[in-house]
Amino acid sequence: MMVTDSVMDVHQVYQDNKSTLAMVPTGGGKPRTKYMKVREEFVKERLETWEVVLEYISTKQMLADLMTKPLGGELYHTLTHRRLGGHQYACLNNRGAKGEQVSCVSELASVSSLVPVLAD
Amino acid sequence: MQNGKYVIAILYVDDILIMSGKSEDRYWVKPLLEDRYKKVTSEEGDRLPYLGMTIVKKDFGYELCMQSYVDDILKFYGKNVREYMVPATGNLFEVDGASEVLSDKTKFHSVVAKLLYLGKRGRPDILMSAQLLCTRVQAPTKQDMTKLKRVLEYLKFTKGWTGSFDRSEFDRVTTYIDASFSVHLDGKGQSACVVMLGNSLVHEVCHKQKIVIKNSTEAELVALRRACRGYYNGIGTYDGNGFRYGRPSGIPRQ
Repeated sequence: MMVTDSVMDVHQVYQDNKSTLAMVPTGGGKPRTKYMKVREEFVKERLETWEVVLEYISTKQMLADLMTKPLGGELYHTLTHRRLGGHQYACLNNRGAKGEQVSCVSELASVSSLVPVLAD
Repeated sequence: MQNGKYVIAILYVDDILIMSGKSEDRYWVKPLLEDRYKKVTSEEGDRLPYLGMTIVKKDFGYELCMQSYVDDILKFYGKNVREYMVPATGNLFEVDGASEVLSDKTKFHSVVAKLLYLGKRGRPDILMSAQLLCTRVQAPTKQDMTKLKRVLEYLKFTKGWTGSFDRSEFDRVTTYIDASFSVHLDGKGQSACVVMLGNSLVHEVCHKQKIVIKNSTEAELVALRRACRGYYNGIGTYDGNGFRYGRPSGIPRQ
């Protein structure tokens, strides 16, 4: 890899909660404690300076979903393979938790299709 | 950088990783170090073992393999391990107060600490289970041991899995933030943040939230705030390597 003084794209942050997305940029909502208000203002400030850009993503593509609750089955494997880089389809051996065929394996061949399309 | 040649040295505690475009560009570095420190051990090639990890060069980028480390952990548990495809069952966050406390905690501590290391390096898929088990080390119960066994059973099935670092799209940073509301015993939520550089995972955080909140929207906000702070910690390291962050053209800095 050639390391040059390259300019990176904007830092995209994905969220799967529409009410947070609606609340934060406008500074709306009713934060009833100082602690929540401070947090909201902090994120709002980051958005105003374009350090981060917030965007919605569906829960099925949300990679962080795995670490908030114990998932299982197809969704677990789709997300895990994307996180690990998606080079281990062979190890999965087409077996499901109870021996059934896992359909996500064939879909995983096109990992790029899971990457959300970025807005211009 | 000189005449298109460059050498990058990365220092980590007492180890140095030296990289260059062509392999002959970096040969002058080792004699220089030997002059100064007399004895220098070095390894070179497409396969570097380091602290339980093996970093393998592939055509798409790099691969981080920790199979020997996983084998090491499984030795603790014995041979008759079943295999599962997911590291946790639905009751991962549930704590059974009536469950008996383990008499020998040492083994539990040792395996959990190993799992945490594994989770933070090559196998992020077990990080959530490892993080949860780490909160139970003071008084581990039989129920916690069952959860630990489940992770080991998952590891046995997936021990060949590796983390890979794809070279393509290395200029795009995306962060995924999610939270769940009131899953822990004390009513606190769980936040998770995944930072991807192109298609490879570079940084991830998963922890119990520090404050008690009222609803799931607030839970997401708490996670979001934490991740915005993480932006400086995690991404700042790339500044030193010649990368710099820009903003989309036409958007002025305010």
